[in-house]
Amino acid sequence: MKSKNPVLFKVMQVLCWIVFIGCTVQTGIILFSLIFSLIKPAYTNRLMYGADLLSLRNYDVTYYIIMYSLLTILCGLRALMFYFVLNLFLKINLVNPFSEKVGAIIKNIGAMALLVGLLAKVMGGTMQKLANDGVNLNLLAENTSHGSDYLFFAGILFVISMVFAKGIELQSENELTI
Amino acid sequence: MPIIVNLDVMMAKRKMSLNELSEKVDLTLSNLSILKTGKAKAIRFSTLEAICKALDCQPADLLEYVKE
Repeated sequence: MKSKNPVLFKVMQVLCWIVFIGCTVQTGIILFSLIFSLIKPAYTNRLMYGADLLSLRNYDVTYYIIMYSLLTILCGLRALMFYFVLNLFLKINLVNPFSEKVGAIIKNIGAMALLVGLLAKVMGGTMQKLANDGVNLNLLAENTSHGSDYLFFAGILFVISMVFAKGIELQSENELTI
Repeated sequence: MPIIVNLDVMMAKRKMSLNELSEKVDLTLSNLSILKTGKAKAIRFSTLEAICKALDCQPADLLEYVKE
């Protein structure tokens, strides 16, 4: 187990890099698509990933801008969350893991997860209303369907951060025990 | 902190330097320094025993309680 952990650690770090880059690229694409669709409305039915938000745009331009902007923010927050996870992998010392910096990073990840979950839930509620009015929102639905998962993740991280805070206290006391 | 460590007093009485004491009790200089400057949160009995043996003194010579 001792020799497997560093390998698993490295594998997780690489995976996090891949996901972080993916999320950042996705945020960039969505932001670019939003700006492009506002300049060239004709392309609203041919956005990234073959998405068609023409029905939302035709329904209400304000809703279109708001929902698309919220989607950009959601993707940006996800990328930021994975940035914090990467930071965690870079800063954590497996010999003495309980440090203030790592504790703060875990809290940040939890806060980001909470924000993502809440935003996804709010967007999900709005989309439900729009769907009842006959608006097609496939692209938005794909990105906002996991709000509950993020909220669950935030809850778990909150508990972990509390345990970590106790760990920091115990470790610092142990370090100052001669 | 209410518990004061009079390590420097005992070291002066026995004319022992921090380096010498650290070698005798097998503690690092930084740990001894933490103890000497009153920053330690706790001391193990084994450490206290080793210091008392090295300085030929009693725990009461090293530890003093002062009301806050």
